[in-house]
Amino acid sequence: MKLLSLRSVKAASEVYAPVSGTVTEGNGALADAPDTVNSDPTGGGWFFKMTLNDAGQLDELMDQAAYDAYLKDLDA
Amino acid sequence: MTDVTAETSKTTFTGNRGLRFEEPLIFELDSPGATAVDVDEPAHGKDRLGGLRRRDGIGLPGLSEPEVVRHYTRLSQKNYSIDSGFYPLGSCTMKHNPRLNEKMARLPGLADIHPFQPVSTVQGALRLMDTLANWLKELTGLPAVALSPAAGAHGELCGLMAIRAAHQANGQDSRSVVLVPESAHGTNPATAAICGYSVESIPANASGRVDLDALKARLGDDVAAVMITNPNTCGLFEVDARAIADAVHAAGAYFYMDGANFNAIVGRVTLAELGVDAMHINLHKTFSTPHGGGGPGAGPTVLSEALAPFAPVPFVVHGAKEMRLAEHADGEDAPNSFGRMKGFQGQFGVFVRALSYMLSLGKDGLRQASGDAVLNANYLRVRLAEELTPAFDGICMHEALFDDRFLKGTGVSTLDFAKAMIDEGFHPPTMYFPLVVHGALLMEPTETESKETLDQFCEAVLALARKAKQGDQAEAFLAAPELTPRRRLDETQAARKPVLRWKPQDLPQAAE
Amino acid sequence: MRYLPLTDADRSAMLSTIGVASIDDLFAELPKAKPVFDLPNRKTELDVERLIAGFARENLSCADAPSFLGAGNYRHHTPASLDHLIQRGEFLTAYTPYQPEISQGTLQTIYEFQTQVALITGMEVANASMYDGATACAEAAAMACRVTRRNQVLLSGSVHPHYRDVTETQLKHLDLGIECLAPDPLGVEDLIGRVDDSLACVVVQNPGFFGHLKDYAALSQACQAAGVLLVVCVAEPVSLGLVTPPGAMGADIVVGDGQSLAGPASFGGPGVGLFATREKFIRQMPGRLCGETVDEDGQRGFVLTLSTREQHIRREKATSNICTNSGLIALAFSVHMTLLGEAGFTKLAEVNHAKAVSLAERLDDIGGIKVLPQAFFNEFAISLPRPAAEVAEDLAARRILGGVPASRLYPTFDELENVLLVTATELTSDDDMDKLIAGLSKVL
Repeated sequence: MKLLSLRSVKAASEVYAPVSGTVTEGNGALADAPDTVNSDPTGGGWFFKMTLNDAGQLDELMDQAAYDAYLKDLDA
Repeated sequence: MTDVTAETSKTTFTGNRGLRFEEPLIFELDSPGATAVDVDEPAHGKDRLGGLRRRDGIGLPGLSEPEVVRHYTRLSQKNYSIDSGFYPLGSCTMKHNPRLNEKMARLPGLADIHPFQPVSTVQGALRLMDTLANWLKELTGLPAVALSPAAGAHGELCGLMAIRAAHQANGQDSRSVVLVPESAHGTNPATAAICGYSVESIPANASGRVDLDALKARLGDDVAAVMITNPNTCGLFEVDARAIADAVHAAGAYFYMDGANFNAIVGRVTLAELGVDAMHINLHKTFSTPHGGGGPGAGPTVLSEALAPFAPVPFVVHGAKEMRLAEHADGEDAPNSFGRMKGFQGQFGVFVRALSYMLSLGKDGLRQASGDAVLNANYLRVRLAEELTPAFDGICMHEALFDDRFLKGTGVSTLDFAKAMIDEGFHPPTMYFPLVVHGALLMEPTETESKETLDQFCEAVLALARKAKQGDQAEAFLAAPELTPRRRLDETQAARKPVLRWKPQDLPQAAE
Repeated sequence: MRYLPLTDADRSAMLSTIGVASIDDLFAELPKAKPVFDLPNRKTELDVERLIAGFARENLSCADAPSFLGAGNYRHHTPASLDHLIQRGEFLTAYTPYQPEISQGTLQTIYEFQTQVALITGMEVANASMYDGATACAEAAAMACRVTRRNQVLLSGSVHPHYRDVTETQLKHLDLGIECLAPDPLGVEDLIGRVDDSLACVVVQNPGFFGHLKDYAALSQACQAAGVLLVVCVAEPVSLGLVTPPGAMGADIVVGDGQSLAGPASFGGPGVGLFATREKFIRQMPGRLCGETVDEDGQRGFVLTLSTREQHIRREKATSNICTNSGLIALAFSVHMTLLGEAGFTKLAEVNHAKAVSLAERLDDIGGIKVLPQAFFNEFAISLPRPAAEVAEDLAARRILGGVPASRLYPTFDELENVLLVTATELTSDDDMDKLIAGLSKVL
């Protein structure tokens, strides 16, 4: 499900929920400092917090190491 | 090479630089009470405004005529234009705009006529529209044309609305999908969406054309139409156009051809032969009416036999004694029309200019124009291949597409490279479009450029490419342009904190 | 051919560089059949002038007859410098300002245009233009549905029938509902009683199609209370020099056509759509926007901005499919506004109104003619003792363009058969009025 759309100067993209659950909080600070998404994507640049319906869904997603490997694969 | 360092670093007391002037906003030139237009004193009498007389001032600045003329003259000098230089903006068809067309559009018998005069007093206007319609029908081989769409995207909408009306008439309105290639102009999916359709993308094959097998696999009874630009946005002729049309028709859908690039093939093929059901024609591209810094244009849309009954009003009807206008959907002249999409009788002033251009060139001149346009593009493609990387092998149509492989490892981006062309006196090509090619540079020279201009451009672009490839030039390119009225502008600030109008300094700015 | 610079020698040299034998070889991928076109060959400039002048001669130009035509398209005097300035090649032959460093001229004029439109309509922001008033109206209705997330529109009988038709055509394709009220020649329609929270917007026109000037402040309050947007159309922008602007009445979106100030009637096109709204709605606006920023050296400059609303980036999720707009006509509008200035603009509006009042008084004195609106600007509907279309034809036969019969735009409303719309502007002389009165006395 589409949760939010990100708009830069020359591009716009949608952010989809990776798992199902209930959104509990949005990061209002991004409205004033959207560049945090780039400068601190895994820290202050978070979009929303959610509770999971089924924690097991996380097993289907990549972790940091797997994602790094995936990106490396794309470069090759 | 001239050394420009001294010139660029020189500062002046005024901020002007010789012939290059700084020009304030009209609001900053205000002499309260001044005007450049003398109006007679109004006769004094009772007003009949029902108490709705404006109470507050408006805030418009006052200037005299010489100040106004100088203001706009100076602003004009901050623009690049086709009159002043080579403008190879791919897909936009920046060709010479003959001034004869302007002169014709200003004849009082054409400029100073009102859309609701009795039709008996505007038979010449209707005959002119009818003549233009005949040219467009003859050049495309399709039996009908809706003249009223105001621009290309509006013509797309006209075509899709006619298609939806035809599906409705045939009990096929459950068809809800329009297929669009991934290389399409953004207007195609946007148009499909505002016509109530959902949009699905079809991939391109390795040669830059629509993947016919992927298209065939997707066709089904939920597909209303397929929109294909031909020649496409990679500057290539869709060699499978007829096969696409046949597959689309076999699936019960209609074939919309985006005619943005019709200038490449005008006088050389008919749409009837390509199986097209609808196509818009940008009069401001193919038929050289001026772009005017963003418009106005006109997007007459030719329609096949199947779609013709649904054409929008207004259109010209041949009566027994005189011509008339069908102005009302549901009226006896337009019983099945899908409605009206534009006020009055369409972009009449643009029609006059386009017809003047067509009459000037004639069928032989139009054929020569498409030939020279394609010749010029291929000349650029071959000459620039010495240093640049063409995105696809082989002959192109009216525009040559390059990718950014030639910049790999230089640290110079497509954007930086394009900006450096500005300092050399050229308008950059279209950048980063189409999206199917990495770091695209799309160059459309048009037929109205001489070989000397093309050679000059090629030499400059080749020199820039060699410079980029020397290495260690990323910063120099990043600094471009340096010789323009303004250097690179901060688009992020403009979008983050939008300031969309002037406001007096002493008033607080409204919240964003 | 005078527009094509390549010589045969150039062509041969270029073909050999490319490595093909002929231009036709470049088209080898096209279908083989050579189409035959039943069209003439090239013509000299002189011959083209003669041909086009032939079309022009078959028309009765408004310059050659007393003209009282309006109904959304108005003739005004345009200063000579206006046409000169918009024909400067740097404006006329530039593309959309995609490269801001070499388009500051066009960009600054758009910024000035946006400001002028915002000022005269009394709104916070305006865009860089739409095609015309009718398409701007359709865009406003669709935008109101996006903003309110509702899907029903109420359109007043005061709205120009072309604006209505275009809006209706667009909305039905978006599966949005629209109720269009009957034409309202007497200006008695009740809108407030119809406002409820199912509506996205109410669309009105001021002055209305039949000329009525109305105060929509109370309607605006009713709309606001129900979360409904008020869209106000202005088909004659000169009125804004004299009349309370829609912004001051509480409008949320103001649309209109700038043609009357931009240039000739030109049989109705091209015009220029005006579109203004509140700052809080800008991300839902259609069309281009120009914004102020700075360049690398910190100098003020202008760019196209908030492009993520637009089709070239947002594709099927864009707020509109518009690309080419009406740039040059917007420039003409802006130049004329600059030439007029506050003093000229307000005086021009005064003169228009005074002429119309004088004409209304003279027409009201003719037996069988009744001026319908109490309050109006420079145009008003009159009722005649016989069908207005016939009267207009009879007057035209005497070379008088006496007005627009309402039946031309409302062919199915029999009660409008005798209604004629009449306009007076600064171009209307006493002599013109004398001729109209004399003509009417003969044909009625």
